[in-house]
Amino acid sequence: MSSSDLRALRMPLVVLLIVLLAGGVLVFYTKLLADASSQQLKPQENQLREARTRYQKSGDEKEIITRYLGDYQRLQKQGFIGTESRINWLDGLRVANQQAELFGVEYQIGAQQPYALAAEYNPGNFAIQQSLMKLNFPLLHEGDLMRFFSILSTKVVGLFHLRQCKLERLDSNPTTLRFQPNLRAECELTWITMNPADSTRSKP
Amino acid sequence: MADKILLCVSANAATAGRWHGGKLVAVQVFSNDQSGWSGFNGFLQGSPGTPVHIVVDVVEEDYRFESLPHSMGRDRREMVSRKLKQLYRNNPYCRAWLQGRDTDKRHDDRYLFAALTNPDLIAGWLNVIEAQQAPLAGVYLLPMASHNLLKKFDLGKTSSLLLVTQNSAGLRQTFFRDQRLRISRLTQLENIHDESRIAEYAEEISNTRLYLAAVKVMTLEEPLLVVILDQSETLAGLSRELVKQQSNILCQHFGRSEIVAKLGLAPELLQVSPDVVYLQMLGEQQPINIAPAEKTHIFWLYQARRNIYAASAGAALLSALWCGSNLYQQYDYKEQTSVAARQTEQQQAQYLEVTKQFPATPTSAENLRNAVEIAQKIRKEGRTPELMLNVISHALDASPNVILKSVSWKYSKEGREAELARQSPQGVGASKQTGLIEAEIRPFKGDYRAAMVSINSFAEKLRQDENVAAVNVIQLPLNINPGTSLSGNTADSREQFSSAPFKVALSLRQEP
Repeated sequence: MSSSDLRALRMPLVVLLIVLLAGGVLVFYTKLLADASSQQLKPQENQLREARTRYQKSGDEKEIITRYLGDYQRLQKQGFIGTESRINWLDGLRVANQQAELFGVEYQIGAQQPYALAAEYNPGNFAIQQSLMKLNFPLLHEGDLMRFFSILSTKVVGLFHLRQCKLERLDSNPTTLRFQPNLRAECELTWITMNPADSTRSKP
Repeated sequence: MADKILLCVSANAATAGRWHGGKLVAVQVFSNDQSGWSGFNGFLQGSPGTPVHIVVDVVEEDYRFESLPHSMGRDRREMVSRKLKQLYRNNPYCRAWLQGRDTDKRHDDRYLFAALTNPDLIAGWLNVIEAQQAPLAGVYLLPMASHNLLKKFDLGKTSSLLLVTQNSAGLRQTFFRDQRLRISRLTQLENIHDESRIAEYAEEISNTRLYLAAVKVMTLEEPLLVVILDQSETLAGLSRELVKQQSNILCQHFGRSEIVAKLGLAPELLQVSPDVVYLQMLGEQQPINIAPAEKTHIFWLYQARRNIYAASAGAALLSALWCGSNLYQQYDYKEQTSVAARQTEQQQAQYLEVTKQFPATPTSAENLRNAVEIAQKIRKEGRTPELMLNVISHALDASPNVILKSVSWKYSKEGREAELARQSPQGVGASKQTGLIEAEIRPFKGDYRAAMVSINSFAEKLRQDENVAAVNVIQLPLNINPGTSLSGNTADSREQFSSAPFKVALSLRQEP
């Protein structure tokens, strides 16, 4: 092909090039538009699916509410659900000490932190928190230990787990009074609370 | 505007036609001289840039039927080229037409070599075309263009056929063997009177038959079908004359009306020139071109331009379709999105309507259930030292000389389980209750053997409890390990042997 042939074909080749470029750009642009619309459709379809499922399961939901609402409210009253109330806890300690007829309880409460074993319970929309507590108190005999914790658990102190306890015999003087401590208990426990993420909600 | 210019050139004249929309629309006859070329120049100016096809109907033509060894590709091209040079030397207007293969053992390729032996006959016309820069699409020999007539007149069943037409150049006889062109003859019969025309033509046909027998294309005994295309309606008696004169001959005569009907020609065009029949064939289907490449170079550029423009149009169309498809998809997605949004709103409204009858809740139903179940699990996981104290108490009842100093209780994951629980987001393993008892043997008077028996007895009592998984005496009053040194005094002193302390570790079985 000579240069004169190329000159003769220059215009059609330029037209072809322009058509290919313009066509490619237009195809690319319209594909982007279609993809963008497709991306908008997917979440909308998911929302619709969820809305349908929610509506279809509204009967189950009502049953769940009926079944669990009372327990949930009780847990709120007990202090397990909601923010940690240290006033309630101290009141509980004081009252349990009185009712168990102990000699006083020394306490030490650490800063609240995420519950170490929270993942085992799949908390979902809840955040499970824990406060580590150390109790140190004298006992008349070992039976007082369980009686004290049993009374404490009936107070508005939420849920707690005993992690460890040490009972140690005190050197007692045989000539002293009848009611004097013979043992010292050092216990460590975890005070657990749970906070819902949407706690402000009042209707489903 | 014409799609093609068709030109049938004979020694004395040329018939030009314009082809448009799949049919011949205008025909004009020019003499083969300066005035004719000038006229043709004007004819071309009416359709500038239109491809020109020339079919040549002259005596100066040559047809040779030869076999060459079978070959393919470059070898075939080179061999055919050598053969053409050998046959026609420097004549560029020649071409080989592959007709099939021999039936003998060698299966050679059969070629029809054809050439216009006097290219000067068309030089005047080509000069006009070149001067106009019109694209010359090709130069064809008229017999080759007549091959298409067999289909048009449904003459494909006869093995030996002689097609006879009366053209402006003279009487054209083209012989087909098995629908393949073998030989063609043009006889210029000038000054023939109408009364002797039939006899003269019959004689020419008879001569042709003798020639076919002479070159051993067919024998005289073989039946021959003579097809007469009578464009001018002057050969009606030729069939009768032929049948009367010759044996084994069949004749088929097609008059003007039949030709017009079979070819779809306008009747008035056929009155202008009998060559219109071949212009029509040339317009419908081009035979093998015998023009050299340099003569058709402008047509090559013309085709290249058209092809590039066609490719551009195709690309534009494809892009438009693709864009249309994308835009339709976009519209469809948007429609689906808006439909889904409406349906979602409806579902949500229905759901809200239903939930109006629900009791007020501080959180969602799922959260209610989740919170209560988590609380139940946490409660269930809780342990107290009560069980361990009971176990120790029972063992102590049977061991009155064991005096407790302290008891430690722990409920946690231990060792590898604790490590795995820290690493896994879901938690692994269960916690277990372990304890450490610090006690002493009282009274103790230095009898380590008796003390050890009491300690082992105490440990055994612990082991016998069904709640106990393991008991380990981790410290004795006396280290009897042979690997360590040991010192003491066996004097019976009360202060020295007041107690025999020991430590026991135990773990409880995991509760289900």
